Amino acid sequence: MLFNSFEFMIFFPLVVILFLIIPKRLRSIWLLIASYYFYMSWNPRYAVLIIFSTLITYLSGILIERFPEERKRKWVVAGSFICNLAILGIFKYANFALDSLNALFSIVGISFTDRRLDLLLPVGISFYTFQALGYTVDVYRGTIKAEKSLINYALFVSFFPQLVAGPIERSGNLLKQIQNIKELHIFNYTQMRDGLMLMFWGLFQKLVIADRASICVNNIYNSYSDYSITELSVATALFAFQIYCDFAGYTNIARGAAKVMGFTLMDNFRQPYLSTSIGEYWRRWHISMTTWFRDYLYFPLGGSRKGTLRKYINITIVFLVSGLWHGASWHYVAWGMVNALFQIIEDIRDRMIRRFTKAKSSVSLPGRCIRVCINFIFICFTLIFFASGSTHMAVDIIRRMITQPATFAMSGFGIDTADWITLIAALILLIAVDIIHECGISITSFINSKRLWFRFIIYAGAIWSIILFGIYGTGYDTGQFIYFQF
Amino acid sequence: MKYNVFKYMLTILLFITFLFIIGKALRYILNDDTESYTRITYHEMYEQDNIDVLFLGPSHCMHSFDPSQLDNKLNMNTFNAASSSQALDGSLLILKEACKYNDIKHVYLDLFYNNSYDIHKERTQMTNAYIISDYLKPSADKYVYLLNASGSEHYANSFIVARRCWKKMFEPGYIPGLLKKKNTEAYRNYEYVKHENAEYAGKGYIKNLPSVKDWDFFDTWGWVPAAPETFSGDYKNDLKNIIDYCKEHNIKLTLISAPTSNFCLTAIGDYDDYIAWVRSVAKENGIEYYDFNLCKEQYFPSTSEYFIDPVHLNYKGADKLADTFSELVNGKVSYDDMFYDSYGEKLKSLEPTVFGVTFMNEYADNGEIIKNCRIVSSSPETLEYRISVSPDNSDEYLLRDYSSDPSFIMDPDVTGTVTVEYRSSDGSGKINKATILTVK
Repeated sequence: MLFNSFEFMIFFPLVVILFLIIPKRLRSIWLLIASYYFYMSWNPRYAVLIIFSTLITYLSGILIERFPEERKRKWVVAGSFICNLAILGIFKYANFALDSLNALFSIVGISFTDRRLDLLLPVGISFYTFQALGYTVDVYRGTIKAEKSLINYALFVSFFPQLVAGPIERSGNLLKQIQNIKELHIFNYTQMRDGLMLMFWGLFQKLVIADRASICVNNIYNSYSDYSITELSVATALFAFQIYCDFAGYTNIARGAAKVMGFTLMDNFRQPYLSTSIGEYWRRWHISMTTWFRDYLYFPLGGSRKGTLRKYINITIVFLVSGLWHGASWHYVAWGMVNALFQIIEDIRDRMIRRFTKAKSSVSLPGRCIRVCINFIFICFTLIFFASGSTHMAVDIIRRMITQPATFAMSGFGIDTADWITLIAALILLIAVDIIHECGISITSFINSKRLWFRFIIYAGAIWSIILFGIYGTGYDTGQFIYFQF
Repeated sequence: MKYNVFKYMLTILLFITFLFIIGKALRYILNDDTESYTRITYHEMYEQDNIDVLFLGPSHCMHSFDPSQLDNKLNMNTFNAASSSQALDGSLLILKEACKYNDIKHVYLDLFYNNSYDIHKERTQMTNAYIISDYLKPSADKYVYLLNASGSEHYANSFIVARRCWKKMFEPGYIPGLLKKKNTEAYRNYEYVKHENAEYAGKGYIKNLPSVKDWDFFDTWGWVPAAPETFSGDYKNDLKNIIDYCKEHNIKLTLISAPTSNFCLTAIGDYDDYIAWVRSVAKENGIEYYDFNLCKEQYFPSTSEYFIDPVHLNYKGADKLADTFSELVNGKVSYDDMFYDSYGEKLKSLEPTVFGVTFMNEYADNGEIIKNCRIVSSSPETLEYRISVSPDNSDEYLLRDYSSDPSFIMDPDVTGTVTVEYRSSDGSGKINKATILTVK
């Protein structure tokens, strides 16, 4: 059940209405049922895996607290990791491993195996697995106490707004809210209004921008050999906005839906394309994942505390894992490696600048704008690896961008003038909103401080923009959210 | 607390009203219905004092029954609520809507076999439903109809008219031009729409002006035989629903089929199978079925003069049909006198004819268009056909010499004329040269 589907339009209001009217003690159970229904609407068999993951991590938490000996506690953590990562490995990486081994053996003329596992990748498996593993580590570290209520814990793992594409929540945030579900949530008009606005903004990002940009990107990338640097660059830049609006759109719908019910989910994006370096970009992009890797991988590896070389190795490991997390394919690994390389180069550059200049120089506004633009070009470069179907294709695209003479064929993008106008106008709006947020101004607060008629115009404008300009319904293949496949 | 809840509810209600008003405004400035026939048809339907007799069906029916003539001949208030490609679920909606405001005594439901494969949830285009739903008053029946008429991917377009035409807002001058057209007395007063070859003639009847000449049938319909065993469940259910509705409301229902050209029915082939199926439905439900394709020549002659194309009557045809129809309904001519038992029997009674060519484009795997053509003939003996093509910008060439195969393939890019010569397969008899056909 997609957030932008007709089914969700029926499902969500029903869940909320019942959530508000049933006795408070039944709220967790109700949300758990709704979450499993939501998840099983893709494929009921997926539920087995999430139940397994939930039970393993739930029991791990209880055992970790029960065992006083450090050694036993570590064994429990290791057991939880092995079980969860084994599921992830089998369902997500087994065929990738077989294909890679085949390719490796074929170099020396040996046919390893031509068999592939007939497995469907369960939606959102990477997200809920990481969320559940994060809980195990948090209990081990003593950051939180093990959850005794299986229902509360199962709801924490499967909470439907963020189940399939995040944000990857921390037990310290979401689980605590679930534990306090009886006290925390009563009907709150402001919270509902703000939640709905967030959902509408997310739908706008997804339906008006991401899905429209995806038509252009798919058209160009599917026949990339017919195009030159101009079309490929425009398509790559559009892909940057597509993936941002697709993922941030999902996150906003998820956060909005949670907010309507009184839950606060963590923010996942902070104007990532306004960053001036790749390092900063990664502090603003998919925050719940990057902080997860930081807290549960980078820091345990030693972070930057064990010397420069070790720091660079750690960065490389984190991005290697991050690449693989995104997808079982070498082009995701290449994407991760390019990001790691850029970060290391940036770090070396910054060290050299610090060595030769004493005072921290402030950057002027035009200077910052230029840096943002240059950084965006670097981000787009990395995204070529992400958007391509293979590493070979990515390299081929880059080669074409360098070697082919520039031409420009508007028709190749596959959208008409009305769609172009809509897309460009929507992108201008998106950038404007990001700049306003970057300046520390809350658009929501601004709107809410205005009179009713003004708010009505804004809300109605938002809703009608989605209804009229959204890519959905007949004539369109309703787009999946890109991050569902991860 | 109670005050707050009331305040919030009122705010939400106000907001929904505001959204609705914007929707209406957007529809007004974006949706061009200034040339729509059904806008006027259904407006007139609501304006009638009382409709006694209601005609329902597709465009085939819309062009065949002229209430201005039938009113006098039947001495009742008749109304033609048919619309282009009206499916049976649409007919039922209109019937329900008409029954809310009228004491309807008799419904004539035109059945045209072409809709019989219709599956609601698999409909790919909904224009034929929208030309009904857009102009009927808001009602639960209408919304239920729209929900059942298609898959959910159509719902946005079904319920939000402006969504269908949002791109028009980017066409320079479109909105001012449309507003200008709508801001006229003619539009506001539902004045009758006139087009080059057809015009709205009142009470739902669309008067077609020109007629086709013999041997000018060259069409794109790609007729296939009527096969009742493959009719969709939706089609059968919709028909049953209409029959049941009429029974429940004491409305007399008669199934009819307005005349279609012999070219069309011969091209379809096996038309008697369809007649047999409708007859069995009629018999099962104790209702009558008049198929005017079975009319004897003295009641409705088989001439292309009455048609504007293979399936639609022109005003001359509608005039003639009004006479025939009223004679039958008023009991001046009995059913047995007026109709043949089967279409096969009728064809046998007519001079064997080579009617024309039908074609259907097929798309090959490589995207190429294949223009499959077929010569349609009622001749009982096997004929041989010789086909020549005269493209607009080059010399005539022979596409195929005499052969008994009525099918041939044409270059889809050629525009010009096709000439078909035919003779008996044994080479005897005179060679007839067919009238030149225009390749569209």
